[in-house]
Amino acid sequence: MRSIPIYLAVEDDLSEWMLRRTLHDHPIDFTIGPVFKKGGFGYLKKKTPAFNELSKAAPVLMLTDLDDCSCPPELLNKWLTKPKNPNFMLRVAVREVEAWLLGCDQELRDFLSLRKVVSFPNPETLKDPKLELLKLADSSSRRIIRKAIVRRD
Amino acid sequence: MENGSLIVNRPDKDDKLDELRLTETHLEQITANREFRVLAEEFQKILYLHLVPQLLKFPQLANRDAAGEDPFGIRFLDRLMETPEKTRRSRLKKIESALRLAVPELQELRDVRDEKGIPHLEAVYQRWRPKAGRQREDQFSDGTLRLIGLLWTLLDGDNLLLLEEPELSLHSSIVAKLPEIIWRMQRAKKRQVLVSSHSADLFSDRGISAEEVALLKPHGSEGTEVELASEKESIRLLLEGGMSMAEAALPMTAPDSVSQLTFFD
Repeated sequence: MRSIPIYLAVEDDLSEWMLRRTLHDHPIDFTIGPVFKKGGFGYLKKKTPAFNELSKAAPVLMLTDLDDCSCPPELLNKWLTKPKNPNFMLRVAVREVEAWLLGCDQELRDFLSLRKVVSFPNPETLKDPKLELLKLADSSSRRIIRKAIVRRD
Repeated sequence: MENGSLIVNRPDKDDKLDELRLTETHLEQITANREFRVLAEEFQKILYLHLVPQLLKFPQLANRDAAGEDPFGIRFLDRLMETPEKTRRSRLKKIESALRLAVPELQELRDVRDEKGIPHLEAVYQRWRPKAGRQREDQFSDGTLRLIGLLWTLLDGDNLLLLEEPELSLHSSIVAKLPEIIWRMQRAKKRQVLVSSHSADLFSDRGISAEEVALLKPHGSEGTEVELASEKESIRLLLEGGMSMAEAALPMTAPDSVSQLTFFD
């Protein structure tokens, strides 16, 4: 079967790699084309109409964080000014994409070189998943992990 | 090749007998280019500029004789001095008035020759000291020198001009104005200017249309693929959706694996 070209629109590097990994694990073969990423949700929100247009040419997968919005459908209603094209896939991480990482307990423990067991049975209910992830990184037994991920201020 | 048929195939048997022939292309050789010399001459007139400020400040770093066509502006000051005095002064005045907006402390830009007859640019930097001294080009900032080089070249001549990354060393607010500056200065002469750039600030100018932008995609040893932005459906749709040229086109040219670059150590 032919590979399907797909565009990504994301807030940051972590979201980009979450999508790359998700698509990689998907049974359908995708070829990831240009990635639209300018830091933060403001850019994505403002450019949602443009990505909706772009999806007429090829599928667009956009990932954003729910953050303080109360629920995903509300966010979709706010961001979409025109009806959504079927090839525009707007996905919302509850509350943040970091929660998805916290769900992979064993992989996270290995990657961050943690002594203690990671256990977040319901990561989507966490108020601040980024903070939990930073706390874990800060307790890493490897200095390079602590230095590269946690900023002390 | 033309329409699939072979027109020229070099190197040929004559080239093998006389290696000196290989120092010039078919287009350059006056015995070979008689029928299309007009074209060859037009190519020769094309001006390419990528002024390297350090080479202007420290000419001893470069081999001046080897500079040939002077793409890096080593002989920029020589060329400037070869211009008739009246034209030169009037251009420098124009440049100074433009520079005053970008580098407010720089005043009285003028050309001088030192005791050895070597040309220099001089300007007064107004600072807190009431009697500030004059400074020469080796003390100008890289951005100031690049801007002077760019403005001079735009004022000089009317042949096809190739500008490589004119945004280098310049503040982003100045870079954002470059497309309009270039357009204004070439408009009267109907001069064609080709600019290569990666700059988001430069491509943010809303006056840039998709017909004016070509995307270059390198394919290693296979050469570079050139595609007009106006012929790309994806870019057309993004522009219709409200994106600027920078937002629509630059992600299309980013290397695929660029996010892995941070893991280099």
